[in-house]
Amino acid sequence: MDMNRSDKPQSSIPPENLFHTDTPAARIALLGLLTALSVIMGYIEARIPLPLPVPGIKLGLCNIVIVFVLYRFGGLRALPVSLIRVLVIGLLFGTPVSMLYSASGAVLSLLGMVLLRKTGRFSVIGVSGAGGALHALGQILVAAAFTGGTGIFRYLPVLLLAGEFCGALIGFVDLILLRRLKSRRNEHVL
Amino acid sequence: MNRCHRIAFPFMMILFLLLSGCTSPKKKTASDTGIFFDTSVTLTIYGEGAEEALSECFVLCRNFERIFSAQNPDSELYRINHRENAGGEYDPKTRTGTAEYSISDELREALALGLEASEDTDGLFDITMLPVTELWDFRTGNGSVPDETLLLEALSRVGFKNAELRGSTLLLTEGTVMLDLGAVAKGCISAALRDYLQSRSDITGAILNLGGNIDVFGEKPDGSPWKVGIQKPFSERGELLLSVELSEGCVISSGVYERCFEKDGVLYHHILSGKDGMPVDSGLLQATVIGRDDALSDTLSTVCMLLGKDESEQLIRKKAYDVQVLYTGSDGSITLFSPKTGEEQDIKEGARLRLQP
Amino acid sequence: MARTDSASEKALGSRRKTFRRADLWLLLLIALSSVLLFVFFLWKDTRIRTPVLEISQDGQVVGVYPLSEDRELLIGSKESGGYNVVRIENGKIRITEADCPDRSCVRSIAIDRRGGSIICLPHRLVLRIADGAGGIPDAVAE
Repeated sequence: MDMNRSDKPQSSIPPENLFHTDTPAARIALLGLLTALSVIMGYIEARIPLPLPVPGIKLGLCNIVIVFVLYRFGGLRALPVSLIRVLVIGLLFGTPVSMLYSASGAVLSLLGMVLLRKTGRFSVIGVSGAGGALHALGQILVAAAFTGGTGIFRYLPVLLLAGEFCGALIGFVDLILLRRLKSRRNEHVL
Repeated sequence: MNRCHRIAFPFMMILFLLLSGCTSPKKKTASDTGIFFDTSVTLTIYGEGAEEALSECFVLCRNFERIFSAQNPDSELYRINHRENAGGEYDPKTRTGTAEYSISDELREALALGLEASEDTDGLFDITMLPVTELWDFRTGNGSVPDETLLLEALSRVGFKNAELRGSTLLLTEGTVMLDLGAVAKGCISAALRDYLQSRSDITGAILNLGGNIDVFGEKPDGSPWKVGIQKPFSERGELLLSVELSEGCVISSGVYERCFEKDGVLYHHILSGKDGMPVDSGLLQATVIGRDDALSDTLSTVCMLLGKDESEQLIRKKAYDVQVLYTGSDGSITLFSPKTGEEQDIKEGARLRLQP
Repeated sequence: MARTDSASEKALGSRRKTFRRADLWLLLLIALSSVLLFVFFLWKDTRIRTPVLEISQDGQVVGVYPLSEDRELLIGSKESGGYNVVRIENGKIRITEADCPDRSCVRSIAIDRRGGSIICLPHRLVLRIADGAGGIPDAVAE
């Protein structure tokens, strides 16, 4: 270890190494923590009432975690985090129907983000922005299946824009996060 | 203004408002439904004289019932069919001989039309089908196919050639001939109603619904053309196949689904062939005639169902009838035949046709 | 950590992607599609010649009403839960009362003959201005 460090017991981990994922166990534990964090963000978000007359408009705070996991651990690991988040939030604060809407939005959003990130041409902000828009789209599609017909699609423009905007903001937050919380392994990824 | 004004003004206003509310303006529209000859008749009339005209129309309907109803013992037709007070050589005891009747104009008109159609279809359409029609029960929905011997016996009494029209005189050469004007009557009546309403200057428009036969003329209060929907065969009442927009004319539809029953997987419907007394199979589910002559259109709708598309088109062309016909085939096809342009058009379900009959 | 990271920081510096051009295009693309959709719906509304209110629930049309007559309709039932009160007044339509969790339907702006829709998602209720020309006939020939 570094000679600059004072002699500390091994159990104390320097903050910079918090995101070490050398061992699978460490990774699982970390991802679990992050999932829980995502749920909590969902709760916080639920407590913020939005005065807009549009149904289904959301800030998407929990996606801060999802995007982070995507960039730090890859899409494959982000998927279970996202799905479990949907499940827990739905069980705790929502209805089975709302879970369906969220799930659809989350899956579509994550899929899109994975693909966009793979192209390497976009930064977090763009990817997250698109993810937000896709999340809205996924929800509308499920809503359309329920309400049957084209009436519901009239909300798409508003929801797409809102989702995109919020997504971009979240991307910005993640940008800062990812830079501040660099891990030795994934340094090349922001 | 002084105190006096401050009180008087509002008081006058209120008084004025109250008084203006007291006079009920004559309603510009009247609508009602009545049951005549087993049919539901709904009339909606617009214009200053709407209410008056409406009652008059129902009086007319009652009069027609007394002429055309085959069930009502007081009707002209019933008495003819049962040879009451027959003129000519008719012998009530033996029930033979030619019966002679001097008939009303309305009956004559309907008979003329019916006989012409019977002639043109070579007996497929026959106004003397009453004995056969009475054997079938399409009303309860639990009908059964009539016994063959009974059917044959009834058929022997059918024959439009046994009914002859000479001026205002009707001659029935066989004692067993019974007339059924069901396919013509409604058209005659709606034509008469329309003529009456159009003759009144205080009527601006009306829509008449005689058991599904629609007739329109004049203007709707909002000025838009009349929209008449055509029932989708075998669907719930009110479900439309397509709709027709027109400013004046009639839309009369004849379909197998109107009165039918199913037995052992076979559908029996009320449009019976004059040749064998059985429901006709002409490849059509429905024929809708759009035209200006209600009586003709009513007759034609049944004729088209009996003849089928091609033959009825031929007939219409030959006689230069001023109508358009919408055929709904059992194969799901929808075709519009306009003899003026001579062409057939394939129509899609749910279309909105704008027609000038 | 400082030692190891300065090296990687330098490596990172050249590949730092903050806000790229591609991002802008992507975001603009999404924004543009939203705008296009919006315009499309605006156009669609202009095609309505005879506006009527069409109320559907669970994808099924439960009622078609003209805008000319003032009306108040109760959809669902107050006792067994799940209701909306629709009011047509002076040609404007709004949901005045509902027992859905978010009440966004009640807060929605009123729609009128020009077009638009009001939706209550929890109740799967859609109120929209449809073209009556295809809907309500004056009579049905049968």
